[in-house]
Amino acid sequence: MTDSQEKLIAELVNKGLDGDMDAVNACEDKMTRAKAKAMIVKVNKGTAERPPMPKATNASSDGSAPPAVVNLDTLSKDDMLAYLVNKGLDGDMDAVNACEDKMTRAKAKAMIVKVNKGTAERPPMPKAANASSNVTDSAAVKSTAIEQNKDINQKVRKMIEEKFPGSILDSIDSIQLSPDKWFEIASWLKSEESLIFDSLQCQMGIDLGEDTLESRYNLHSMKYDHYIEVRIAVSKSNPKIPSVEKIWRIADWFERETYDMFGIEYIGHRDLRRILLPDDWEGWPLRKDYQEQETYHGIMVPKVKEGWE
Amino acid sequence: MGVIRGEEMVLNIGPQHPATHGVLRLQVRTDGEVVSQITPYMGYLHRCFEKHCENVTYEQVIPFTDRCDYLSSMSMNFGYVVAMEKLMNIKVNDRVEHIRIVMAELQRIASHLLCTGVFGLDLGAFTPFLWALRDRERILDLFELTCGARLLYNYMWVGGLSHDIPVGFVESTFEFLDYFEPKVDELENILAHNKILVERSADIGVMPKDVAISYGVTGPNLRASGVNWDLRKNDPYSIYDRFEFDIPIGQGIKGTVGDCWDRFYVRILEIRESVKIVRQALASMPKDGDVHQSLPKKIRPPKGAIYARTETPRGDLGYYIESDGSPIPYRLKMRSPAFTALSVIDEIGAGWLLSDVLAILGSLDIVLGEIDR
Amino acid sequence: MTVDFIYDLLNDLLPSYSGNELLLIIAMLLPFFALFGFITIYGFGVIYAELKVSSFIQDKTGPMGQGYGFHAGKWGFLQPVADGLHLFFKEDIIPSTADKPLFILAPFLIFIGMFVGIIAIPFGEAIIISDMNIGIFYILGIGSLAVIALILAGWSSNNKWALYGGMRSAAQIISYEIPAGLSLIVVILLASSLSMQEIISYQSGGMFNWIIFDNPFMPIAFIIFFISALAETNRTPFDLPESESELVAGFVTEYSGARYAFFFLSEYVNMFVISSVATTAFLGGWQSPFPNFLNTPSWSVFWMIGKAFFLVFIMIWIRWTVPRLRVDQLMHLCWKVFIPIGLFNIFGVSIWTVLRG
Repeated sequence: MTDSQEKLIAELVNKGLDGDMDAVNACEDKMTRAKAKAMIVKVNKGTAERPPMPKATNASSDGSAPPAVVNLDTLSKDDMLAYLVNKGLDGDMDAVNACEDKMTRAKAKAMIVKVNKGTAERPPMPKAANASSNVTDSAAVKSTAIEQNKDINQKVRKMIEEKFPGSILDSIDSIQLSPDKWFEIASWLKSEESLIFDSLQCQMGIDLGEDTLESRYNLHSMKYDHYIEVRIAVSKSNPKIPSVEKIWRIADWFERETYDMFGIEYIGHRDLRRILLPDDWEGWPLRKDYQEQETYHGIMVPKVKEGWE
Repeated sequence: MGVIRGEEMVLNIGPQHPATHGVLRLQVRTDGEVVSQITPYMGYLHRCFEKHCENVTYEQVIPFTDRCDYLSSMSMNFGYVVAMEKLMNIKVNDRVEHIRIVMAELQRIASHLLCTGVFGLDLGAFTPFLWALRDRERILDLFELTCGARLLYNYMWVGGLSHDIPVGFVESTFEFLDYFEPKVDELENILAHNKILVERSADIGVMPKDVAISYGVTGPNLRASGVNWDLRKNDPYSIYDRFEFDIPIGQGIKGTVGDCWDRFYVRILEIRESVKIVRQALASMPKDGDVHQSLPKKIRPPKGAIYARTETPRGDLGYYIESDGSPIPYRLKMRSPAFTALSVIDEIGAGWLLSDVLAILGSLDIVLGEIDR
Repeated sequence: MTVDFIYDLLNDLLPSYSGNELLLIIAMLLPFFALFGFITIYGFGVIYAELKVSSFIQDKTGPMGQGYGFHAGKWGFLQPVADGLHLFFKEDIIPSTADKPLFILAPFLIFIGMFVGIIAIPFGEAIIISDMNIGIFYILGIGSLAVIALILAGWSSNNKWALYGGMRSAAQIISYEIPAGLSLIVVILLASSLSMQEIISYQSGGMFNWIIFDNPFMPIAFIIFFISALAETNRTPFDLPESESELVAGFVTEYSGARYAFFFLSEYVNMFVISSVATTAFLGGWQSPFPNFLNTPSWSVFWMIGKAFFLVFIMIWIRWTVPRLRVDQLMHLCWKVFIPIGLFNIFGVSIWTVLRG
């Protein structure tokens, strides 16, 4: 395998692991494609190590969108068209709109409409655009930081698997845990010598739809200056998570706020009650299916106040 | 009328009270004058910021962030913009970065002036409050020159700024800084080294390091407890790594490390450092550059989540933004520094006299808009 | 003195009614009204002075007016008049759970306590409403009536904050009367009399005969008396009972309108009374600083009022400069610092007097 081919495979494997299977599928060379897919399966199973992201294309592997300012001088007109159409079909209309040339822009938009209708074939993504269009200075620098974060996430995930087997559920840039052993894992995270996550930066809840609520924790270590994010998902019918307020004292108020807004109950919390809303408010406001109550102590609540004189 | 019993008295400080920095209710259990427990009740200023953000577009969130901590709106904008630009991988040009830093640091000076003035006012020193406000007025005039607003600016947009700085801004700012530097010395002399104020605040409300970290206290409160942690140096965002400035840390000059006096004094020292940063930023600002250059036509970030932190005058402001690819945020959580600062009041405030509780509350520098959102 | 003087004058003027009791009553009321008018004008003046002095110190303009229309007079002179008027027109609110008789009584008591002290203040050699031979003692005693009034105000409001304010102020005033009294004892030692006029006569003959320059212990006694005076009148740095930022408004939280005006007018009058006592005891009273120059009776009124106003001005100045002391620090200052110094003063002055013969 040549050096550049190895680099390409490594890049595709990283992209695939980050969830961007389109990039893998867009690869022209069948052999490379197959090798990359096989590698992805092996890494997911755990029998192979995830290869490091090759430096030149760092920016394309962090899963974020291409920058708004795109360096496309090296592409020919046809390649440019193909590139823009692919970008547009992937959902990034900004890249299409950022194109300077009116003719190409119009042609690309027309092509996108045709492909969507089904009257034209989707053109393949030009190779050169893939490599050169995503390089900007800051993106490289920023993604190194995000890369480092991914590395520490990976490392901590491994350590948790070793110590508390069976807790990790699948996730990419954060650590997904089940609620059962969260309290033990949290105390271990704080006390483990090489980690020392002594600061809970942010704890919040989120309603992911489909009957799932998640409680997310952003942990930070003052000593080693590294960050991880932990996510714990529960169902709306039984939203119970062990409380970590004995470990990080600020979790006391953060968890009260999440309880107030989402209804996630934290077992073991010393005083779980509403913090921002009055104690006798009904409902969990930040859930997506929240309906305001009609009146509160005789005052009309909903936005359209019909009985309001 | 009944018989007086010599047991604990439950007292409500607030919600309407001149010294609670907003609408906050502190339920205090006292035995005579000694306080045994403080329970804060908040939510009087809750305006459903996070729910609103799930219904408006990403650009429209910026005025909402202004109103959270209304005393340092530039910093709130800055935090949101830094998070969004990280999420969308936008790079802005140098001129925008310099202007943003100038605005953020001027805002830091204004906010610290107000905080130190109000701390004196809580303790009965009426005059330094008005002197601090007089100087803050000049900063607000500079802001009005630039974007037309004195308090809620809507100035920093994702990818740039709303207005470029006008002609004459740089000269006016230099003039202001030259006028202002001796005033900081004056303020320090009349307030910080005043014997009565030292007696009222030294050794009071001591916050040890581990308590501060465990309670998530950040910003000047944490630095006053002796922890050398400032996001502008430890985790630089924007172009802070190009400027030279020191980080003042509490050293327990007048009492224990981490007492009220330290928290108050660290803010005065920070004003001086911010003046340094503004001077350097104005000197090295590029003359040309379009502030609207990198504004995206439509903000539609990719799917994903990001948590980004910036340093506001009150501490670490964190924005956790979860986007689902549409122009409207899926979830936006603001981790406010004053929220964590207030949580520590029961720990450090119990056991002191009633007047001390108000001194401690003043030294923590909370703004209810940020706590309740 | 003055009452007798006027009585004799009236007897001479109206011989047909001489010996009638009505003349005595008129003779008592005339100086009273004169003094009352003076106090009213003083009240307006000191409120205006407070606003303007605070403005100068705080680098702002304070009350200003153009002198026509509904503005507050040229340079804001009519501001205190406007303040007074609006306070009297406000609704008189008495909380329903307050103890009504005591609530209404408290402002009257404090008013009486302060105003009755004025009759013993000498404005000139023969210009004094009542020349008692226990003048100083009388003023100090009557001033203590304020304590009862403040406790009544705090208690009857049925409000925890007012109660705090009332208790604190009672403790403060009672404690600080002791250093004040100790400082006055050294004055009495020197002058050998409690009568105000005799103390002033002791200091006749120019500025260097004033008691404050008499011996090295006297300035210390003056400073202790002045600071205790600040504490007696609830001024910053001792204004805990009414501290705005801590206890909303302390013991006057529940008072509104005219009753509130009474409390604050009494505080200003008390400042004047205590300054007059300080002037009498330490600064020579109505004596002119120059031995034989400008010491006619009309000038003596000017000197007395001038010196008292100067001390009031210093009280206002201190208010806007210094933060306030906490309750236990206040008590510590009184009991552990001022009282020992006061006792030491008495000791020192006694020895000095004996040694000097």
